[in-house]
Amino acid sequence: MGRGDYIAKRVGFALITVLVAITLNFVLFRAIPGDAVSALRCRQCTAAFKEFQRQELGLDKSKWEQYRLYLADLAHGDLGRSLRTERSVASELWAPIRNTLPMVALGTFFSILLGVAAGVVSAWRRGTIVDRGTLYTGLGFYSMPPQWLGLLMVLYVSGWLGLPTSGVKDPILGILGDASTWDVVVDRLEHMVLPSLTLGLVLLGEYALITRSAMLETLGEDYALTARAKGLSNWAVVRRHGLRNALLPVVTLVALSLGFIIGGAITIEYVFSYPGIGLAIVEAIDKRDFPVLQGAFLLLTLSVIAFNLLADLLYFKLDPRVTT
Amino acid sequence: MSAPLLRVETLHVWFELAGGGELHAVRGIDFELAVGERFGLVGESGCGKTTAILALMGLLPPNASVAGRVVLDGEDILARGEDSVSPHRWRDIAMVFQGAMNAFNPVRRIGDQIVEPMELHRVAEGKEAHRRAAELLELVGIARNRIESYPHELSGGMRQRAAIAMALACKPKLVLADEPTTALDVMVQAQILNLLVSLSEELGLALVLVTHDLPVVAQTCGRTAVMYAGRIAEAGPLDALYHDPRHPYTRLLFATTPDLFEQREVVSIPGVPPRLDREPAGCAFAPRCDSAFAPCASVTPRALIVGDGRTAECHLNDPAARAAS
Repeated sequence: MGRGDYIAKRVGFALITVLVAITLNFVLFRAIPGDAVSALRCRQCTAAFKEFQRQELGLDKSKWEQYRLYLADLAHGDLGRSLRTERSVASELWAPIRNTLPMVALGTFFSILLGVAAGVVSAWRRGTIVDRGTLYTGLGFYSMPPQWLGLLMVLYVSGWLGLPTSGVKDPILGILGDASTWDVVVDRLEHMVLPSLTLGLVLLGEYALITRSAMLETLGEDYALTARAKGLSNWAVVRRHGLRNALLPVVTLVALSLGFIIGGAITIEYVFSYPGIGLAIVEAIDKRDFPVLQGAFLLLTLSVIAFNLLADLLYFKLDPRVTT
Repeated sequence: MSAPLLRVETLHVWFELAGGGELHAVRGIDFELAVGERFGLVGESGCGKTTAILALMGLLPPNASVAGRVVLDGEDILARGEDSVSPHRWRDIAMVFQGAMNAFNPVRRIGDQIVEPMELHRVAEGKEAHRRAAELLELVGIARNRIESYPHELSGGMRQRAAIAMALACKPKLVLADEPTTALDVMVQAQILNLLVSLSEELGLALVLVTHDLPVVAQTCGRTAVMYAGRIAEAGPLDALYHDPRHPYTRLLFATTPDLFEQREVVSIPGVPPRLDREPAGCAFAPRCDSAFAPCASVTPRALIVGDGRTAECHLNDPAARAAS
């Protein structure tokens, strides 16, 4: 099987997964007892009103018909309407996504950069105080529950650094006179720092540990010894023969965790009352807002699939042996 | 012998053990190598032969300490640690490793990896270096265009040839080959050994062949040293060692090798080599030796000259010791 086919195969596989995910997303929400109308918990509603609601939402049709309509709507980018606000699910989810993405991106970027660097240095300086320091710090952060680390941030770090602990923007910004773009950006960043840092630290521990062990394994390979015998300095061996090989498992891990983080920052967003996608999910569950929940789930599934595909393609780029 | 290319003097290697204590893996070995000479270093697993040649290039892990001199062309290359040894790595002394199949980084092209030491030591650069890499591959019997291949696209035998080509990249004076044929089938093994011999003859390359496999040495080397428990038990021309062993270990080692033409029993040497985390009392081989006598258990034998260019460390060769018992 040629390398050219690899990409086609991976993309095809991702598309099939998307289809399955969409179907599961449909089935899951029909499999739970009750439906969107019974979830309204409306005591005053007459049976006629409920029936009207069911028709409105298409719940009176057969499951197959509902599935067909669901797919057709989805194909048009229509995710339905929120039961709570009557606005389209897409616009309902757009604002939280806009809040979550930069926060997660900042945290992840920070953790990849520092985590990989710490892991590499730790492996390069194996057995030294630097290595042990990285190892224990990494283990510490990795084993901390994110929400607890978040609480520590709120309790100790925020006051010390003078950073806000909740929300995404200052409620009075722009009320007393116009705020410049610069002020808005700074305000957003200030609100983003602590949740990003919390997420970043947890990931940093994980990435540093994985990079370290992958690097150590690579440096123990025969070709690393050969590289040393060629006259390369230890650092040159790490850089030229270790890094790319050791990055292979790291790429997989980062891509996998990224996929989950988009929605998995739930606890962190909750601690910081950060109105992102995680908080939106919590709220949708609270309010029994089925269409929003369904839309959010679909979004998360798609992000996991997308990042998996990205990992596969990166793997392909990094490792010439990959052909299947 | 004229001025030797390489002289190893009382080379010792200790490993610091994780649980405390030390392992004296190489316990003072000496040998010399002339320009273009092929020298065999034989012994069973764990006798310190690989450790010894890694020590020559200063490639042992950080928990190892080395004593002794390694004199290459009159210069003690281990004198100033990394600083004095690294300019000679691959430039003067190259290596073909035990797992030479894995000597290539799987994610980089063969050609680039052969070029790497050339550019590092400024032997050749850019296009010129790549042309030379292609020529080297041709020299070891691989098509020139394979410089574009990745290691996994080559068979085991081809990878081993490519590893030899890589060893020749900087026109070294000496190649240390550590079990270069262990993972290969017999046919490929013979081809690789013939290749090593012909390269050594054509290029005037000195070769140290480290192996546990006596027939491999017989096919390639002249002078040979038999190592046991971190010391050279006996050294001399291989023919002489075979026909007239002066150390019981050499005799038993040959007896463990099946012979296709001679009808004889293949034997094994009972017992295991001593642990080297404490110094063996007397001769290290005595507990397994079939000819041990009184002094062997307590007196450490010295290396005695037992013939033309031959030495052996065995009390059997010492008339005084024999008379005393």
